[in-house]
Amino acid sequence: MSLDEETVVRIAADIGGTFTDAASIGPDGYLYIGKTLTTPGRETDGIIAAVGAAGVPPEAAKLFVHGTTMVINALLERRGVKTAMITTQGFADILSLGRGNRPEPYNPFYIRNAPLIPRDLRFEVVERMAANGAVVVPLERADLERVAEEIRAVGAEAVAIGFLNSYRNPGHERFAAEVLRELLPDAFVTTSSELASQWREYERFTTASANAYVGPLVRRYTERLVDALTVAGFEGDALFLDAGGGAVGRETIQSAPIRLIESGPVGGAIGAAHLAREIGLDKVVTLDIGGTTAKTCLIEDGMFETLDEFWVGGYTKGLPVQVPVLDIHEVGAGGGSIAGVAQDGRLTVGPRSAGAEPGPAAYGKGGQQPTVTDALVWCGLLHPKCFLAEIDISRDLAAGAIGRLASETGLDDTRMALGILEIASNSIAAAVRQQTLERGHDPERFSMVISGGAGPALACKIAEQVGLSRVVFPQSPGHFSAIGMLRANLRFSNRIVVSRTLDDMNAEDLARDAKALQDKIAASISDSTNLAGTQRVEHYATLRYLGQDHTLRVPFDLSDLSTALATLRETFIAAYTRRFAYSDANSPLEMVEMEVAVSRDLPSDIRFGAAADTDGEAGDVECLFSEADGFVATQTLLRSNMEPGQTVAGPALIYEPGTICVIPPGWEATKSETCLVAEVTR
Amino acid sequence: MTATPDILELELFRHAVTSIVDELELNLTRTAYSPLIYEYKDYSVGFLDADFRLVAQSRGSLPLFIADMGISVADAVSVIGQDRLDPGDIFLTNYAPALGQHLNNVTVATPVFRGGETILGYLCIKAHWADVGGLTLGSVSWNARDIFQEGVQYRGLRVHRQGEPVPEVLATIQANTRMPKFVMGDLSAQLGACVLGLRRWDERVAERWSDAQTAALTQGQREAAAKAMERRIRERLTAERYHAECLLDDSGLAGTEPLKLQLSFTVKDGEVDVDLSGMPPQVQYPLNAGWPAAMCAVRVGFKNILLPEAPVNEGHFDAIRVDAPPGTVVSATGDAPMSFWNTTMPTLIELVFKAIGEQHPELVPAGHHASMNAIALAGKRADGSRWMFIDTVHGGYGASQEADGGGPHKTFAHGDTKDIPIELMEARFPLICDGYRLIPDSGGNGAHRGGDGTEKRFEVRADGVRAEMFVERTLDPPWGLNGGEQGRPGEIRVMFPGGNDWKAFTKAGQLDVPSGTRIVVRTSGGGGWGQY
Repeated sequence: MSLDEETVVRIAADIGGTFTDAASIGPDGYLYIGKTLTTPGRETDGIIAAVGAAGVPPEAAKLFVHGTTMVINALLERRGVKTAMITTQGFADILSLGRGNRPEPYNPFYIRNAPLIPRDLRFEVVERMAANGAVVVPLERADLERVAEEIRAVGAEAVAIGFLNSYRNPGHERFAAEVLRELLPDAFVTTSSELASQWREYERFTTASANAYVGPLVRRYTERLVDALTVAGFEGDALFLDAGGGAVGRETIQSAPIRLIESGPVGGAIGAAHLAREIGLDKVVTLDIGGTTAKTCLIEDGMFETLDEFWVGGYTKGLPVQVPVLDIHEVGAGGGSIAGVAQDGRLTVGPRSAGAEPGPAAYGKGGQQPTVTDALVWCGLLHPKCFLAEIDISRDLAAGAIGRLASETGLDDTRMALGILEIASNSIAAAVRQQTLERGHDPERFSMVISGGAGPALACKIAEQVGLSRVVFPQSPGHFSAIGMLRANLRFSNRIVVSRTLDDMNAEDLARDAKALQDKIAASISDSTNLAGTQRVEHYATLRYLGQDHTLRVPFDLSDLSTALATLRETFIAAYTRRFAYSDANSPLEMVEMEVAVSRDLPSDIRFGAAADTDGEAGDVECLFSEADGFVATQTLLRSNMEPGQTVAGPALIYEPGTICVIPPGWEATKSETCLVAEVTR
Repeated sequence: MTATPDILELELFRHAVTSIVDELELNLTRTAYSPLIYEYKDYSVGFLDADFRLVAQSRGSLPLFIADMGISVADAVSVIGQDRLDPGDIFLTNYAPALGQHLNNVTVATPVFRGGETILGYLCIKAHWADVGGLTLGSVSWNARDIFQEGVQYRGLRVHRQGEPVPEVLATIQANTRMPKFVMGDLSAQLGACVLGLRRWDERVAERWSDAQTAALTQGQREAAAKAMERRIRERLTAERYHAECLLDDSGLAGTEPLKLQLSFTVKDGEVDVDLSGMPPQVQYPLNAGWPAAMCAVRVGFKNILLPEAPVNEGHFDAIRVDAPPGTVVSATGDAPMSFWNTTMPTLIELVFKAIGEQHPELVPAGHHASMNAIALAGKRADGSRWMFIDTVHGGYGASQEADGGGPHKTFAHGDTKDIPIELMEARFPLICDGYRLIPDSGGNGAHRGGDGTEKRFEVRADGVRAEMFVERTLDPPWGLNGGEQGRPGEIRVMFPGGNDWKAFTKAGQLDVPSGTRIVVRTSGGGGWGQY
């Protein structure tokens, strides 16, 4: 961080399911944070309140960055607008037909969630593209006029256009969109090919349907938000976090609103990427443990990966959306996860969660079944006196719940409490492992950046199970995502379908296509703010061995066109070998898509102030880490009292507002300027 | 760890082993060449204990392959000799009598050793190979009249010895397939998964538990699984005798005698005895299945109704005995051809549902389409290489006490199995799709309606293409339950170029379909539940 530059006052707000967090950089360059309960239906009120709680006045700010669960919630709760679909004759049922799979293979009553657009709002037109992009049956304007009339009659507010083979030739979709926008000027119109560019009609059409379904909502929401900010005195630029990891302006997000889906965790990934660069870690796995789920993501050389598949409502019964989203693994285990005996006799923890109501047994709000939080309390790892001020923690109630399950399962209480933590950690460790080992990485070379309410208490235990030997506790882990949003850059990416083997293409053509797309993206993002720095361009290629289906996305260096394709081949083979422990040097490679990302830096400096003192207990407490050692004397200290460079050997509990960092035996923690780093000592 | 593992230790062990098979599955699907593996998921990944009993199976494994690899792998090990297996050996098996399925289903397995001495179990990966020789491209044909026309059999053949590939064996396998690229690519994916699995076993299991502990844990899991199933049997199957029957269209050749399938079982003291002696004798046409396959289908049936949520463990089936006299259409012996062994499987699964539903209609859905609705089109490209498109078209599912029927899906024998997207089909093969839709009102009427069947229209755009196709259960379509009505049956119709009439087929082997031929597959709707 540089203190020479003039501070840019800025505000970030992260709307989550339970809380709305604000993080602001004041005129003094210091970080201020605020938190309020999320206000469903009136989200902007919550944002203004949280910003107020952080204390930096909106009129002083030049930049406002926003991440939200609004789009995913609208899709899950089916609160979108009445949406129509226009599709190729003979294929109006695609959204209902799906892919025929039953992800619960032994559930005889399995039913997938219903499509977003009902059958009577799907209209067919006569047109057909061949798989090679040739027009087989031309699309007539008269047909579109007829359909537009029907759509007007049913009163749909949004229209999704999805034609067969449009990934190869989007001409008909574009023409249809043009005509529809002309005939239905108030409707939100979207095409499948502008959002996703891969063969798979069901997934692409579903993506278009989701985009249209939330389009008018997002338009209204972003307008309302900007109005509310204006009323509060804000005169700067408002930006939105794209689920793929960049900040974009209102116009961009209004045309592709589906890209806001799940934008909350992106802040955490950006924050972790910055932290990793600051403290010189090139391989990081992030872990955010909330009340119900744990989310994990990989960061290498300061970059995170994206995927172009997201399941609205989960893989089992949900709907697929093909937009770039942060590559996150999520597992149903968190602080509120309930432990119990499944009907088939197994001891399970989660995915059922006690949530905020009734909450863990220790909260005294009527919860009877033990949760992960109760096990932490029982083990002394969440000390009643040092927990959140507004919640009264009862160790007796936690012990009661654990005791009941222990006698039911024939375990003793100690084994029960440790067992709950062990199983929860196991599930979470499996997700973390999936992010490292399964990509061919050696976990021992990774560090974990931990965040979320329950994260810092479990981090070292999970790290041990995965085989990681370093855990980084950032400042204010409960606000990690909002703080990360303060460091987002302007960034947007798009893709071009290539579908050719490396042997029969030339780098000059690719570079020309890339440049055209780059100019288009650059023009669209540069309007959103004048605070942005120099433009950077990244290229990626998705490749596979000819004949395979799954692709790998690798960086594509177009700086030297004479060697670009040869280098790309080497990059792919190295990445493939690392991931799958096998490769084929002789097979031709097919480039499926090329991706162009344009980004411009925004201000990212943050000064962390001294956190407010916590009502913590100094001296030793008794904590349980292992069955063999039983309760052991554990020192406690306040994070704000630690000096940079100070090292504490585990077992130790380090308190800060809302969080306890648990340093188990065999670990030691060192405080640095920006964070606390725990490492294995044995 | 105590001598008898407690509930916590069992769960931690289950996590460890499951994480391995799930990771191998991911590796397999990402590296496979054949869409039958990466999209269709025609595979199974599992870990067997030293007695060849399944301990864990990967999430996406085909349901019809539930806990079915033990018999094949036990046979292969008996051929090799257990004491002659070394660490790092990897072997193949698709030996028909131990498999009971078409020969394309090749299991690749490797023993898991600890300290190089005793075998703790086997990591196994079964996958459908694109071609294993035989009469026709793809090895699966209605024209086959004995098993030898359906390809080559391997019985414990070692492709790796002590960690090293055996080149002459790999070359021999390559010489025995018409689709070497797919088969060698998929074999590599299976081998890669075995190698990775051994590494993961060392890291996640061997580091934590001794041999004796591992044995105690697998035993403990098995006992817990058996107990869970027994409890459900006592709770749900409260009658003593159950029986169901159903008619197949023919004996495997259009126009031959319909086959009557019958299944009975008795329930006593928390145990189920399934009797398949009422099944018709094996036939000369290739819809026979072997007893190991029938056993799996019956297991899938009971698992769906009694214990759907539990992770698969062979202990679940300790209390479900399946008895079939040798020589029936689902316990075929000798040279019986089995190309389309799967013809009877969805119906066999559902006979379990039907038998239960007649006495406890609230426990089961009405009938589903129960037909593979398979269409396989194959030909040669201009450069001489071969192509093959295989799909099984979705049909309607039965309604239940709670809801209208779902779908369309593939059958109960399938699970997380995806179809081939139309756009992918058109890009890769000389085929066009002229329309794909639900057939309105094809589901049976009832208090809850059955799910609708589908219609998919294909057009062939190359010469020299041949088709293998079939629909089943058109004589005895998906039944209604508790007063609900049956679904409308499916059909296949073909219009040859120049003709103007649609010719109906139920089964067709190696049918010439010249360029311009149009094929329509219609699938049946599901049965309704309760009186309308």
